[in-house]
Amino acid sequence: MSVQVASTTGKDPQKPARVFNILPVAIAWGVMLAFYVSLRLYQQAFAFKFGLDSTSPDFEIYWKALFKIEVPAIFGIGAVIWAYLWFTRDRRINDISPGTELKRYFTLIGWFLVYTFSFLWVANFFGEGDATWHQTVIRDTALTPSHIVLFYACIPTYIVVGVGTLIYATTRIPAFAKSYSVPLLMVVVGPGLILPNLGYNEWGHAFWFTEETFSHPLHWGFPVLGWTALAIGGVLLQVMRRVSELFKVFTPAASLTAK
Amino acid sequence: MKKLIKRLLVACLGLSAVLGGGGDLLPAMVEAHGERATEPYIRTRTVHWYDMTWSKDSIAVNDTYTIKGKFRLFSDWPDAAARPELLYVSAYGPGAVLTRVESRLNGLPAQQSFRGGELGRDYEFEITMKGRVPGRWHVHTIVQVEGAGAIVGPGKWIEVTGSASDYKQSLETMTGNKIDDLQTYKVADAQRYHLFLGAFALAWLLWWLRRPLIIPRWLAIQKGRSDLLVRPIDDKVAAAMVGVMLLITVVGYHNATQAYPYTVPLRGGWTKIPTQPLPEEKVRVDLTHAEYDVPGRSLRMRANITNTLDKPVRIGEFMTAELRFINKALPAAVANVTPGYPQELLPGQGLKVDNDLLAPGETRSVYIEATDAVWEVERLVSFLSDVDSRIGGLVFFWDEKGERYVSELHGPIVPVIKGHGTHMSM
Amino acid sequence: MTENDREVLRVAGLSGDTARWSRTFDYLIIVVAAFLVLAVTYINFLLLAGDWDFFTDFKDRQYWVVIYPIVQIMMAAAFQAVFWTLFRLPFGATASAFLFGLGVWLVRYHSWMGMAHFPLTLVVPGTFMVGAMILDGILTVSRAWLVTGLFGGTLFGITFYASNWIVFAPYFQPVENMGQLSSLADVIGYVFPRAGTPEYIRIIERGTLRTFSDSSTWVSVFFSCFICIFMYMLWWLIGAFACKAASVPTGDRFKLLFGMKPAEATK
Repeated sequence: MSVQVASTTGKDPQKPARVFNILPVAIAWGVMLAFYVSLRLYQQAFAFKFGLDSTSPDFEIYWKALFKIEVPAIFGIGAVIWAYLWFTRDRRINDISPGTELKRYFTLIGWFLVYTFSFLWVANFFGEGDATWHQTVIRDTALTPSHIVLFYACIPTYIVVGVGTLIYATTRIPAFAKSYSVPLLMVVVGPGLILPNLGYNEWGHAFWFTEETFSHPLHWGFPVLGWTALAIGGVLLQVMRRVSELFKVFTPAASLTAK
Repeated sequence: MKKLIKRLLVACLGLSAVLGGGGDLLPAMVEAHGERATEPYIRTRTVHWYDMTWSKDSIAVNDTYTIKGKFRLFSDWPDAAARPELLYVSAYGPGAVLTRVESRLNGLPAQQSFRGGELGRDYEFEITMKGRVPGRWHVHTIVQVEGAGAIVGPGKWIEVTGSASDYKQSLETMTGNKIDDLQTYKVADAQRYHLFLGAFALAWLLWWLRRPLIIPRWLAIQKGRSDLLVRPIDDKVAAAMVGVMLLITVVGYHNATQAYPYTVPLRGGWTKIPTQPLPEEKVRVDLTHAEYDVPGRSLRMRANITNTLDKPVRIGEFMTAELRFINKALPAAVANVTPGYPQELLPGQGLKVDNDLLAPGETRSVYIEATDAVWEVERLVSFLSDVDSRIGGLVFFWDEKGERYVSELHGPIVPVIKGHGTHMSM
Repeated sequence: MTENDREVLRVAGLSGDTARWSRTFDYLIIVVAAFLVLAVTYINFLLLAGDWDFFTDFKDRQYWVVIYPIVQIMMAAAFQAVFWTLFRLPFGATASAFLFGLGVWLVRYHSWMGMAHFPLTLVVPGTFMVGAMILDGILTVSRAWLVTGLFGGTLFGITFYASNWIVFAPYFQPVENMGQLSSLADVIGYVFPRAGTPEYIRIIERGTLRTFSDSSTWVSVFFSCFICIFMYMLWWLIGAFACKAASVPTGDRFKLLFGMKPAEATK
């Protein structure tokens, strides 16, 4: 990636008063936490009560309805966020001041704070919750109360945030606009592919895997796509290279000469 | 409010059905455990449960009740499902709301799975469950067949009263250790140990996290000063940590083996089911034609029935997918339905048969009809979209002394979609 | 702040505001990394070896002892590689094990116990914290991933069984159930029924492992050590590879969308 600081010289660096504002991240965490906790409480109330028989009218009301609402709602909100980020893109991206660029890098980390938070609920909290469901009841549909929450609420949510992160980086930060960052694409697209991987999962369960073993090869697509998140190391390296250059702009000359 | 509306709705529907005079009562609202999504060829042609009894409808926490019965591994087992070469028998509610006290198959303990289920044979089981979590739970018996999955038997409600905190399951090990409560035994020890290790792990993490971390360290590496990043004191702490971990492991393991010198591995063996004599079919049923009338919700069959007995018999019951169609004209068949049997599995119209009295040695074509909305409710009509559209079930005959004879019935089934088909009748 | 810390900052050329911003950056990355390490460690383990950790009556001598450490060393090694390669921070394995421990207890409570009423005795998890701290310790002292893989991998495999037997030994006491000899773990699995887990579905020791003076578990342990060594090395390399900052230039059409002249953008 191009990390030269040529563009930072000869301009007013516009030193930021503060580089990072935690408030939007805290709000996003709060909203998401409320969403996930509500889903969990909803499961507690209605999973065993109305979720065991996918042919019952109650299942239609309490579970299929949730599925039909959540998928378009989450992707709808996502579309609005993505569209906003795209249409408000920086159309003079090469002209931003070092101060602005630095703040945008910190904001990108803010996006990652939200993205990794949302992934946690799939990988750990509701992921093993799905195991609880499968090991204790009999599978009768792909749309179980645990899948409706895990696969069709939590996965779309992190896809919304992940793609948002990618669009933010591309539309606000020069280095990511000039080049596609391979690790950033991996970090966003890899876990995102878990959603289409469900097709393989459900196909296998429908036709040849009548019992549930979590470690079965049918499920290996999930961890393999999860591994792509390791590429955050590469993203971090790209971020550090540029941020450390930007830091130089704001470092007093005295300390630079002290080396 | 919702409950009230639901009750009103059910009441209205029930009333209209009674006023309609058809006696075609709607099946009661019932919980299921996903069996309705199981393909009809599995539900009608694998495991048939009969002579089921439930000792109680309501128990207190820590009380037990027993489910007893028989199941037949059906001769016409579908090729699409794995054969019952390895199977497990139990009863389940939603989660561990009831606990298992004892379960037996043909008198043998059913803690482990069983090998060698044979088609065409009957198996007797007995399962005793204990109340743990108060509530009204729908409990099914289940035979799980390796490769074919769970095959669900009739479900019945059980009321558990009392307080979950009163539940106790204590036992004594063969080494004389008394376990007060199986739910919590040694859990606190495990948690203390994990916390103890976690404290070391956290200390190690903080040892590093308190320093200037990401960008400074990366820049120091770029400038060739890795030596600043891991210092001699870090080496000492790391070495000490390795030593402490090894010490914890060695001492802990030693203590555990001292404290529990007698341990046994997980049970890996399976039990071979002792072969029972093959049930003799004194009355043979050869299905010649079966059709399902989709708009009429009616299964209509014609079969050649041969009575090899030296006494006359009549058809009393046709049973498939846990549904019992009873010939109400035959008192012995009606009397065979125990009072506690789940009503929703007893279709109101029962079984209609035409001239079913079979003289000794006689072979005759008999018409059998089972009509009820339950075919739709139980999603059994989807056998029309199965890969092999066949029907199966057990037919129960009675002689005049009240003795019962069980026969299997199976064969292809065709749909009658409005305006087409053969339209059999009496 | 120690003298060493100041020296690191001086070498990095950070002072005043930039040192402060850098520390803010540290805190943000710590949180991002904590979420990510937990999530990736968990999803990897859950779907490659989860069954053996869910239930006490899955923890057998043949597979649990082998598969658990082999799967857990994957992410322990990968995160060690990421943190060590980029920052010379030798805590990837410990972070992985510690955060996994937090996550696993959370789910055992909220889901197994909270939703499906299973007692904790049925779902007590294993831990790899001992092996992870040994891996980090050896990496610190040796500063070499190959040495860590060879010695750390071996110790990771050995200590997994021994350090977990401290918790699980009581669950393998002999008990009589319906006239048959059984382990307590089997009885716990029997008493608290799981509709989706028939007894035969357990992937556990079914054969005889009589060897090493009847201590067959140690055969599994040694096999596990052997695989752990190579698993560590493979995943170290994958972790190091994940830290590559590769990028592919965007096209001219794309650059114009951000007001960049194609020629200028290549600068």
